[in-house]
Amino acid sequence: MNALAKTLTGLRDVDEVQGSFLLSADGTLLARDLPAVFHAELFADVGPRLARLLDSFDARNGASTIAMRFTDHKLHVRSVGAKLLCVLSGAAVNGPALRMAMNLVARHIESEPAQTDAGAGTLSRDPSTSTSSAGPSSTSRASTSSGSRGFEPSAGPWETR
Amino acid sequence: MKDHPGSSAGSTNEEGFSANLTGASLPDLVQMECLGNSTVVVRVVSGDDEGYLYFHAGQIVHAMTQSALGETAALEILDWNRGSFEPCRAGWPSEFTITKPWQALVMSAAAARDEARRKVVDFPRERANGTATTPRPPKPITSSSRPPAHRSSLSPPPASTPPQSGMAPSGAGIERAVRLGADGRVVSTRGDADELAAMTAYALRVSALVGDELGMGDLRAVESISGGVRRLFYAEPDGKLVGLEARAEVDLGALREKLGL
Repeated sequence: MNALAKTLTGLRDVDEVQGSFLLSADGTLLARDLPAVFHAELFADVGPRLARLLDSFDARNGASTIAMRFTDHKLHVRSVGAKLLCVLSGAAVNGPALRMAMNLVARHIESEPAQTDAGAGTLSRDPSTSTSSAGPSSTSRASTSSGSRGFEPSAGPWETR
Repeated sequence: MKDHPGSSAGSTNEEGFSANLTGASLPDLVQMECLGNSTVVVRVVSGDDEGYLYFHAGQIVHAMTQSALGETAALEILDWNRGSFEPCRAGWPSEFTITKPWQALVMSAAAARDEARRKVVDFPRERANGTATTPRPPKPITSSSRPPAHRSSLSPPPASTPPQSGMAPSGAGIERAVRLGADGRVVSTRGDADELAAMTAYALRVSALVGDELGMGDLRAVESISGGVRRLFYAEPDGKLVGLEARAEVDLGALREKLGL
């Protein structure tokens, strides 16, 4: 488990969190902490789509968050520098707790860009799968822009009280 | 106006009990007069508003407020939440202005109230070819135009999306809003929403695709905060897409609750 993937596991402290993954600015998978059912090939489409979606909100100033509410699940996306931190959860996740957990993880990710590159592509939960889409060029791109946008310390959508 | 020959309006010296009820709803009091076949004029006061309901033989036959007469006035009065309800000696009109049965009036008032409670955002600018609809709980979003391999199922909107009574006007703080037809045509807007229209269609489409790929089920809504702007996107039960935009600090919690999100 690389340092990044290990960092992601901290998100599981929050009830209902089912896993998380980190994408580069162009949507390339950098690290993941997900059940095996989410095979790496999935992210070849999902990653760039999420990156484009975030871009569509024109987030040049400060961080961005997206929360997608599905019938029984939520997908939370937060920009961390030029990267995208994504968390899968149940619909009943504790919003404030998750925001705090994502803040902490984001802080770690931003403070350790070098380790991000070194560990790109390593899986945390399912060693049998690979992150083939996480190529060196994309991780390099991600690291060079890391930290340029910061992250939001406060509210995200879908607050649960 | 003239005095009605058979009127007992304002006959406070007649036999019977007077009552001071607390907690009764106006429809309850109206029903009581109607079922009692009353012929009476009732003065209804609610805050600064004042109106009169004319009952004749158990039917509401006339009503007036400071700004309306007839059925419109009756519905206005029936929409008031609190106040006083007392017989009075008001003069009777030369002709009755309401022919609708009192039950229908009460039902119409209740329906109008429910509709107002469900209303999420006002769209003052309806497009010429569009149809204004009252927002209801959001419908799961599927990418129905996608190839069959990416099929997504529909699920019904949540069963429990109660209208919120007594809440502040929802939609407060929303600066821009747009409603799109399923084909992407702009049906109605609030504020300058051309860019928001494109964003709404795109965000819901891409999010539905992502959800399908990850096996997350049906998309209900997307909310984003970016550049100090908060946006909420969802689909209405009839398939129309709605995008709302407010400042990031605006709390959309009440709106989410109203939408059953």
